[in-house]
Amino acid sequence: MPRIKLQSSDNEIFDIEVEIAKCSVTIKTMLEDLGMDDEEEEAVPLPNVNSAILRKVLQWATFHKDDPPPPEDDENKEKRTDDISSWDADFLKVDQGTLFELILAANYLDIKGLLDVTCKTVANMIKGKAPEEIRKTFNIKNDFTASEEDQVRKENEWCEEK
Amino acid sequence: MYSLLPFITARLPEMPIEVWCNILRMLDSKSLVSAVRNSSSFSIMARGDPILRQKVRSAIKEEEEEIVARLRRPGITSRVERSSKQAELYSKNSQKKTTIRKEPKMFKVCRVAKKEPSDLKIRSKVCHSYFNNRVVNMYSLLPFITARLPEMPIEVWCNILRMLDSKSLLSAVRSSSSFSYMARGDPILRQKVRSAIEEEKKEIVALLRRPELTSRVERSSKQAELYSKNSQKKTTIRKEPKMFKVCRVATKEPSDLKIRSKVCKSSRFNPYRI
Repeated sequence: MPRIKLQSSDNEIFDIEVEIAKCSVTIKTMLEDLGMDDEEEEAVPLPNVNSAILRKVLQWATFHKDDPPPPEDDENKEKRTDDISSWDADFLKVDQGTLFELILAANYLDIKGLLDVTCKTVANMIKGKAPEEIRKTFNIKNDFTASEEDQVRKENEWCEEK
Repeated sequence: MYSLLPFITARLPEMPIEVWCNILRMLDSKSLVSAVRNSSSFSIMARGDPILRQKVRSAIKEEEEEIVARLRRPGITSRVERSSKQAELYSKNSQKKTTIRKEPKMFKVCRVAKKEPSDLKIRSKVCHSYFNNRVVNMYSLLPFITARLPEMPIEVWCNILRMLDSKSLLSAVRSSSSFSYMARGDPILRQKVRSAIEEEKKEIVALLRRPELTSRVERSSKQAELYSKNSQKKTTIRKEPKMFKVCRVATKEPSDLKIRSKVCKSSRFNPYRI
């Protein structure tokens, strides 16, 4: 199997199969555009992904290397979020910071499957929660300005007694 | 002289952010917090780096706990206990114990116990306006910790929001102005939020119109005489008068039933006002 080297932002080198690396559209395009051979000695730099996250991404890609390409999305259709496989669910049992870094890495490397599953995990964190619970989940504070609050109040004006 | 050369005093040496992050990661948590508080550039770097962010967050928590522990140390507080004679003067508060921080601005705990120990009721009161201000000021240096959503491209957030059902989306939009901003900018989300508000409106109206949520008052014949013409008056009032109300008045003869819907605007009929 041909292999390739990937270099993380903290200069760690990962030696992996080309097939696995090509799960990422970014890497695939890079290899094609730069005309890099399969047995390239030089490492492909990935300045936006650190070693810890790249390791996780490669772990995911190795597990899913034989998966069929994900189907095209219908923008107008609401996606299901309850179809995360048990392996993926276990894989994504990480702290919030890591989860968001995985999303960023999947977005940068253009790995649709990983981006989908991580986004679904975040969507599941929001689903069925009240605004205050959502704020608690993401550790954010109510940052509505006075005018925005007025706007919300206006929306709900119809059910208040004048 | 320095104002002519602001870069001398205002900027950090120009190095790639990852190098700075590497340096900051080498610091212990206390030094890291100091660095972050001393420079907005360090603050931005720490905000962008998850490891540094976590480190700063835990350092602040530690610092806060340390301050609280220091303020609660018995040596720092003075205790006042009244003798029995003094206690008589204070009647009910005879066993009053007061613990006051030496620096009254910083911290104070007052405990008042009643006469009978069985009915002991301890009221704990923490006066910490100054202390609170200190904590608030401390956090105001790092507003990103509590105020912002995790930093991700808007299209990724939109992707996540599109996966939500309309109710959850509406909750998300109401939780943060950033979500609200995103939903406003995306036509699909905007439409979904709009329909969610409509749905919510309908649901509440349906809920308010449910007969079991209303209370019905019917008058007996004796009482009815007193009310003369309005002898068969039926009043249906929503339990929460602010929200919803229907007022119907029927005349004496059921055959000539004529329902008058009346909106009373005078203050006298305040409870029936819509």
